[in-house]
Amino acid sequence: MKTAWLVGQKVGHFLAVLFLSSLVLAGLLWFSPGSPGKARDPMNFEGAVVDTTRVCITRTDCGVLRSVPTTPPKSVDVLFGDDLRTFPATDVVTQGGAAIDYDTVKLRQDAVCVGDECGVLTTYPAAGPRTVTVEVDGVLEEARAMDALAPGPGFLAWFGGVFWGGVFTWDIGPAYNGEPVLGLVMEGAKFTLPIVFGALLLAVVVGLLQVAFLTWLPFPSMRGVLRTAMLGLSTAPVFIIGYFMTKAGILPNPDVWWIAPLACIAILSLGDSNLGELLLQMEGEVRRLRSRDYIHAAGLRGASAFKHMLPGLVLPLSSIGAAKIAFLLGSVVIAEVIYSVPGLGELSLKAAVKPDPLLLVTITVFITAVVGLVALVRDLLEIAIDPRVRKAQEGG
Amino acid sequence: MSAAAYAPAPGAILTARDVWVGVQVGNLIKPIVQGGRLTVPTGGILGLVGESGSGKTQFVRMVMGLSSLEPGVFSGSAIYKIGDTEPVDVLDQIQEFSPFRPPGVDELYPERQRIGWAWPLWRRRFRQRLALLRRLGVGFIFQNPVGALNPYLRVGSQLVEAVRVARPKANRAEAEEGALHWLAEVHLKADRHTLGLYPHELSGGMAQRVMIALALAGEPKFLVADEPTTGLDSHIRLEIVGLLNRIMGQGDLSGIVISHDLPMIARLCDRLAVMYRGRVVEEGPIEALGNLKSPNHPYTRELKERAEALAQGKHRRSGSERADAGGTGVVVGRGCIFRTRCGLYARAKAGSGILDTARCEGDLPALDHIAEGHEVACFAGTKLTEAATWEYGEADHD
Amino acid sequence: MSDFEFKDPSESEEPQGSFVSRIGKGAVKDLITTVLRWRHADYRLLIGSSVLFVLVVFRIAAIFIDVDQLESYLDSDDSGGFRGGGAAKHVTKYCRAVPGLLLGNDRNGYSLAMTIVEAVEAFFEPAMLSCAIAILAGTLLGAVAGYFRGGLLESGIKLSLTVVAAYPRLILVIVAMGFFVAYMHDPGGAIRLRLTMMSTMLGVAYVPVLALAIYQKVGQFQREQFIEAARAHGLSDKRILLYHILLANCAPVIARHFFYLFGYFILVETSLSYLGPQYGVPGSMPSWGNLLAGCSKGDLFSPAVLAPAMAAITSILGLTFLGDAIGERFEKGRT
Repeated sequence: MKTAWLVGQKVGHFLAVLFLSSLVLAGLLWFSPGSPGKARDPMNFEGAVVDTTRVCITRTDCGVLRSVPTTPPKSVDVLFGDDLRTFPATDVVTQGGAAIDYDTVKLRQDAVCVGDECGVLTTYPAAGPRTVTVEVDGVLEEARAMDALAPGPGFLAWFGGVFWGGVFTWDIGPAYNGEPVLGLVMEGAKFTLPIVFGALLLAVVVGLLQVAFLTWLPFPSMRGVLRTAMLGLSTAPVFIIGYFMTKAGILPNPDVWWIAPLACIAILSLGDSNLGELLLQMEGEVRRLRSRDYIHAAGLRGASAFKHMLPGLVLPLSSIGAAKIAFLLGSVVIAEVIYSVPGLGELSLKAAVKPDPLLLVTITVFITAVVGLVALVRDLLEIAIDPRVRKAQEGG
Repeated sequence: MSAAAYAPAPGAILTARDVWVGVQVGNLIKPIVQGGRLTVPTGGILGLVGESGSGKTQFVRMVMGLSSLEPGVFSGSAIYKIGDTEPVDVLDQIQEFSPFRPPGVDELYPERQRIGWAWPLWRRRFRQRLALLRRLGVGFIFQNPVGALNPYLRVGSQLVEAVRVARPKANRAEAEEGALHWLAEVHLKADRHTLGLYPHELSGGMAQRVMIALALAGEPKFLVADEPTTGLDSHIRLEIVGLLNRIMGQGDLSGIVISHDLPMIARLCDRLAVMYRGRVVEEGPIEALGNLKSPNHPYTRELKERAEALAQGKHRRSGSERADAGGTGVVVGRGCIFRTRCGLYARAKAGSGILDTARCEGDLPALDHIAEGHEVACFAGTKLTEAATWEYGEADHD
Repeated sequence: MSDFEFKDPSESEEPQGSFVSRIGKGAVKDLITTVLRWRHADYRLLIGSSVLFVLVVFRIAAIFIDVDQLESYLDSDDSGGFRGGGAAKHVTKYCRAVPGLLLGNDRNGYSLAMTIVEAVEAFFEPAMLSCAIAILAGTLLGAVAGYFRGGLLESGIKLSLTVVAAYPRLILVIVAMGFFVAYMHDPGGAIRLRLTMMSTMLGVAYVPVLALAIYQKVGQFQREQFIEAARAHGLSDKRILLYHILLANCAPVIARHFFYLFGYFILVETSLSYLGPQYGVPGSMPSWGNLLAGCSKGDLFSPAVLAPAMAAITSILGLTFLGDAIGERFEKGRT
């Protein structure tokens, strides 16, 4: 069915943009100091294959394994006069050439010999640390086996498996305070999403009321003045409105939990030119629609003009709304901090100064997903309501 | 102004007098139609002719209550007398509803009694006015067919809606039957498939027919067709004209046809009104068009010439046409506004004419009786007959 | 379309009575209308231009003012200007209206008027930087995409701009801030760099908007006849693009968005500075957001609160108006 193809196209576009935008952010994350690509866990040499397996000797230096860790031979230190040297225990013999009995030998007393030289023993045989040889950037490096780290995941593996896989398994990684990142994001979203959508709804409702009022107003010259006054009033930045509201006594009250989010909704819908611009755009749409002949024709026929205007209004309004959501999600940061609402905005600011890049990236991807979803809903609405869109696809 | 001045003309279904339409631009009001007058005889069709920008559409829309000017200013009277009902002045009704007068109106327009603002669609008073017209039984065929059909609704639902105008008590089945009937009337395939089409799926000619069906479905007694064939291919145009001829020829339908296509008007209409730059310059029976030699306003003459030239395949551009291309709106000033294009005036200026050029420059000609039921706004008046033969005598030498 | 008044043409002269009464009633109104009439967008252009002018004047004045080094009024002798003498004894320090000082003093005890002027420094150059980046990148991408249509280039540009536009702008700024802090060993010491990077990010975030506007405009003009004529005359694509399309026709669009972005930048900068010195400008640098936050303990309507708030609102509003007015007046083909 052609509609299914259209729908699939829109969904595909959404997914593609989401994928690409998260890819860009993940790439940024990858090269930052907090990168999850760094080696972290100790290396397990079971099953390690020489010349194939990758090992990291520091958090960032990784290379190919050139030797498996083997139990090194025990060694002893022998003092030749002032010269202290280490030898494998098996190379050291008594003066007579026999093997040394380490249970009875006396340190710094009994003479021992290595080859032709003789000195005194200073240590009992002890195994050295297991070492491995790793070729890093063409240079053979030796490192203790217990210091070796398992290499971090490759970028694609992390991006696909841990990040996006983590969305489904609910585990992306830890945040700065040890809590799972995804959990923090969801906790924050519980506040931020209702605030943002509530602000949008409020702005749309108030805007529609204003449009109706301006249309009713029998003084056409006053309309321009009122419109400009509304725009001017709404240009006040969110923090200034919030400031004055706080001063005027609308404070976040711990006993009444819904005051703070409600206040956020109020200042968000009004400030940062949200309401003003929304009003201007809606009025433009309504005016454009009103002058259409089919509305006049319907009026002449006695049909409800409202019923005829509705589909013509829903689409532009939803486009305006979808654009506004992105803007609101930006402004909500300020509003949340003013009213101490523990939402995504406040969380992102905290993540920015900690810094916790993983949390920041996850929040951003989440917000981007929300914005994209709203745009997708709007596109689907258009497919449902406007028959011309469906026809364009059929026509090819 | 006493009520007598605005009484309906006898035997006329619509009498429009002194209609003045303007739109407010900034602090000024730009007039679009001035002194508009129309008389549509009951059972007859009036053809309104003029080039684009002459204000004919705005004039008729205002008279029908469909003005989309915002903010629009208008005055005048448009009296409908349909059947035995009381005559109703549609523009009069508006006066009662507008509490606000534009400033300074009384000084500038001492003769205008009624000035109102064109109100947007959903104001109750506006809807009441439209309801009035609906009760009287009027229909409107819009200029752009695709624009006049709601693109979000199927043709069927819009037709059903229109059918319910005339028969409010019809149930769904009856209304659909009615819709199919009207589709057949306009020579479209009357089946469910057509009802299910969306407007963008219709061709230009089909959309025009659907619009005619929509207008007819309300069973109007008064029908207005605004440029019904503009923008259509020529063979479709012929069909639409034939359709309109058939529909409007049916006994008791009166109406107005607006066009700049003179031959179509000649075919369809009983009366003629010619508009130039917002003013009606000629009004009379369709026979007054006659042939090229008949006495007409110089502008009507020019239109006839052009139609003739097109019909014969000649492309004759008179110099005066180039001199005055595409003006819109009423021109304000002294004297006759047509004189920049008027062949008579040019000849009189050159010294060999029948006109008194001083009058043309000084005064605006009012509609003047030159024959039975035929009025022309030209100072040449009854001398137009002379002007005709004389001018065309010369033209034959080309 | 010419302006003309409706006159009943049958009246060849205006009657004396109405002329006199019109003089009496509307002389002043007519005068104002006549003065303003030549500007199609009248009061918006006026407000916007005055706001811009004031901002530029303030910025220049701010070069000479350095509030930190101004003597606090408590120390100064009696002398003219804002530091009135005799005031020293009567007044307490913070965020109060003070006789002798034009607007009172701010949280540090300095003259608020001076601080307000100096606060323009906080956003002026960074806003210019943002706008420059947005304009350069946006114009380039939009023009290229609009001119060379139908190829991989256009699709690629559109896709990348869609990705950039997917993030809310303020969030991008915060992300930039986060990564900056993560990378730098001493984020406190590299404050200027942080601010520069944040303004860069805001400029980048605005690129899709401007690119879309330019893309549409270029597409519009590409269809015009004179482009065909220019091509027929052998002008190179680059020249056509640069001179005929961009300079001649897109300049108003660019100017309009320049002012929109400038206003938006002021909004963002004051908001972030309000939230705190780790988000916006450092605490020692005055900013309107700073000033408002610093005086939050004072009276609600003291000048220390109203002045920065009004300054911010007026600047943002004025610049937006200026952008609108320029668009309406100069852009061809825009209602």
